[in-house]
Amino acid sequence: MSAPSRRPKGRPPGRRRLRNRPRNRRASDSGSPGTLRIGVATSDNGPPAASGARGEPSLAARTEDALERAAAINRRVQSPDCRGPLFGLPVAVKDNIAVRGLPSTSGSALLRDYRAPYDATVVTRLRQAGAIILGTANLDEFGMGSSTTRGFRGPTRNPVDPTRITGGSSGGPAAAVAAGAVPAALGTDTGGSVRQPAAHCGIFAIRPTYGRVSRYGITAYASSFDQVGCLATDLRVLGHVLSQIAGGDPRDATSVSRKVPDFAAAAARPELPRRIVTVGDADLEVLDAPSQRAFHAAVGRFEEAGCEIRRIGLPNPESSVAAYYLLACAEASSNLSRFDGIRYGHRRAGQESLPTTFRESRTQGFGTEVRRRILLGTTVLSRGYRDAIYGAATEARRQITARVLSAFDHGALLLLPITKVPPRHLADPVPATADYDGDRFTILAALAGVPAIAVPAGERSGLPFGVELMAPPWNEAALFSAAAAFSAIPSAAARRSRSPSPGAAGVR
Amino acid sequence: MQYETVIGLEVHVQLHTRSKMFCGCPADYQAAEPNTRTCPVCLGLPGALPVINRRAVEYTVLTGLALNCRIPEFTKFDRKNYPYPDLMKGYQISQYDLPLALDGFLEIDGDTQLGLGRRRIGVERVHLEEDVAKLQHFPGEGYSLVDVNRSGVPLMEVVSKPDMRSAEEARQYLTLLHSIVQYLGVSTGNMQDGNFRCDANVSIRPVGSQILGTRTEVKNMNSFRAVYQALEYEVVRQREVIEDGGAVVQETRGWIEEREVTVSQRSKEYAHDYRYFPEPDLPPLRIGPERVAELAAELPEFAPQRSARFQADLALSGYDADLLAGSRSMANYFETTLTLAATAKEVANWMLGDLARLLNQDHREIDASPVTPQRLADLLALVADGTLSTSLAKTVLEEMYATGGEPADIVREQGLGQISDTGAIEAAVAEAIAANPKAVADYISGKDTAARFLMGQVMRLTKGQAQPELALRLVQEGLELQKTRGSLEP
Repeated sequence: MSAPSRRPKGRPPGRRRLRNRPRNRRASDSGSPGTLRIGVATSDNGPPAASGARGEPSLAARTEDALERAAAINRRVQSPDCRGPLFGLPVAVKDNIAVRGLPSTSGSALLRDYRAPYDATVVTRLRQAGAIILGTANLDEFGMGSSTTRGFRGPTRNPVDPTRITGGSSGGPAAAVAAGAVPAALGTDTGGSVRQPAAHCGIFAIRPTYGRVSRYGITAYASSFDQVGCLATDLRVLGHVLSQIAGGDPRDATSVSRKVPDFAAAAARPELPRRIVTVGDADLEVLDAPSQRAFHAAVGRFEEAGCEIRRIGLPNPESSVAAYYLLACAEASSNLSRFDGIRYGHRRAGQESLPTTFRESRTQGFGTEVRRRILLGTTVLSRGYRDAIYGAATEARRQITARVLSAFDHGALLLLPITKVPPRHLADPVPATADYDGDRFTILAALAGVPAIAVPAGERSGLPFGVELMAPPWNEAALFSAAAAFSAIPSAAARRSRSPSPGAAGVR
Repeated sequence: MQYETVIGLEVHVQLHTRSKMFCGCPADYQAAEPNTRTCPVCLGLPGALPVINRRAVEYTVLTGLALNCRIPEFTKFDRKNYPYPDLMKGYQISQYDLPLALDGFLEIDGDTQLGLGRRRIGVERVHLEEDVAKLQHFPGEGYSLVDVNRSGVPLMEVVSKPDMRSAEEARQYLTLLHSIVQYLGVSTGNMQDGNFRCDANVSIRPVGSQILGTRTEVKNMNSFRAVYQALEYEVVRQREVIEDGGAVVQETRGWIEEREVTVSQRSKEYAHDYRYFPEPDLPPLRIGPERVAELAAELPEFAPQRSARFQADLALSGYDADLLAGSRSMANYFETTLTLAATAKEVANWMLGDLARLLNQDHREIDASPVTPQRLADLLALVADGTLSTSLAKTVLEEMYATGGEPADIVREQGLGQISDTGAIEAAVAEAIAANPKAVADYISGKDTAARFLMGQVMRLTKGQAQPELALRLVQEGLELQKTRGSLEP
């Protein structure tokens, strides 16, 4: 679904002021049929399903289905039967998360006609809380990308500036939330795929500790990196969603049975950490000048609010990127082997030998970036390379993890940039290879398995700018509290002009 | 030139668990309609994840212990990557460098023809993996069918060291391994059903050489006999190749039962690169020494030891003892029947004789016998107290087998009790004598065997219920009386 076509008069085209973004109400808030209002808004804007008003897809909605469910839930809302905070809440999920009966394409032509015959555990848990799965949202193919331009349905536009990309790979969920179509969305984060589009769209997003949320029903990209992430404009909604979907799952042997804290409560308890550990200027040189200034401003906000700032060198940046991509592609090359056209998905037409059928079905079905990463990963695992490359990358991961964990002393949280430059224009020439180095900040949390939250931190160059906070494993609560506190700190400019911050969406 | 044979065996044993290896689907796929034992996990659908079947791990550890293996504290699963239509995920979850059991052995009697005595055949490793789907080919039709029921069934692989020196030794090893997995109850071990599959690696080398010759892999042997014949054939084939001046090609060869030959299937010049790496969806397992000790305590007495005990304590012949101890259910049945006050020799005879015959006709295992140990013991008691003759008891046994009834009930219902009433038998004797004057004449003229003939007639007339010894005695008495009368008559 594209950005709502209301554009305030008198404003320069192609930009939307952040403060005009609609607030999302909980269904139980006003007693009014809030859920139906959103459903109606969707159908007012034109035909539902894959294409929005301008033909750019970000949300494939089963609107009639959702409307029926919303109506049913609305009937219950009026009765004392109404349950928890997610009751009636419409949620969009990334198109690599299985929703029974809906297309589950992972953005790939190979799975164009594939429908999930079962629900992912996170979907089941959302349903159990009475949330409504509005539909699936666009992504880069199989999660491989940072732009949400590489899916077979095409690119998703940034609601803040529709001439620009959203970032990726969870660009669809980010856009749906940023555009106000849904108050919350689920994405997946393998190397930053939930945090980076959140930063580009000016919303919150959390990547939980590895093992916090079940991966059952998530089309795997890199198994030891993938985690379901949540996106929202409201920190407490974010917290409610994470608390609901988190928790051990007997269907996922890598999930951990550990008591799930009330993250919404943590969001309602703003608390800054005593110490912020961040990187020095040398590591920030990769950012463009406005981004550097914006990051310094964010650090400044923490400092002025009383946090002790400690600066370290970014742990092994070049080897981190290399280790991440080598390991992720290795795992991906294996995870994607199941797509052979034999039982489901695209199969090469006509009768040919088995090797030809395998090879051509996959070549026809997969996009360029996916094929590139599969070949890379296959090479990494091949005889003669495996010990030298996969082995070395595994060892590098161990060392990087140790370095990241050692930064969390004395209750410190890590503060890092997310992006190097603003989101590019869709019309810009497409780079031949994805910018792997652009992930250099976000991959650390994925390598180490620690939780990380993307927090809106103002604008730079007129576009949203976000930073990420990282915490030791299982301490997402500290991230919620710190994000809440940070968002409540007025920026220096705002204090100067004595007007409410145009920055991050407020926390209620 | 004398050649030495070098044989190693890889045996895949399907484990008798309730569920599959990595999902909750029922593992009993044999009788099911195609593609009815499936779920997202064993179908390899996007988003599906494996979870470990604990019982399968325990069964594998038990087998490792029974094979005298070392059970390492840490074990893990790995992905074995290769594309094939019977492999749902494009990789098989198996074990690579940290298998569940290592460095074990089995003791066999050795090939006496080679002058080898009792010795150990090394077991390299025992590991756990998942089975693949079943393909059905229709040559010339242009399609094949996939049945996913078998995909994900737990498979235990036992890899021997190349220590066997003849087809005979391979047969012994296989038989013993088969007996062990049956005894443990970890598998039904049925080669015909595909529960127990054997592949062999065969090579030959000049006697005294320490270097291994080029080996071939022999597959498609579907019975113990086939293994024996295939290995014998392959050794001869390799020797002929070398003696003709050629070299053995490293390849996979299939055993063709109908033609009794091995045929080249594909060249094994380069092994597949399976790109093994640790399975990221499954955490490594720690099997602590305490758990290993608990499992070791569960090991039963295996066939060789049980047979030895039957021979020593119960004075059974080696042949009978081996047969009775051959399967755990047979041995258990035997010992249970003994506790119900029967003698070992009697039970052994009946079990290995008539009961075995009835079971074999139906291809039934003793577990499925309608004749329970209790009923067998009861039947033997009726023979012991004279109620039934042995031959009548056989008839009763057949009835028991057919109907599942109690022996006493059958005897009563059919009036089969042995007749030991002299008067009743005498009537039959008189009738037999009157009806067979020639036999009587034969007896009088000195042919003692005629008495037996007449006894047979008496048995027939009493529907086999006359007590045989009594019948014979009365026949003889009757005939003597005839002799006396005859000599008295002018």
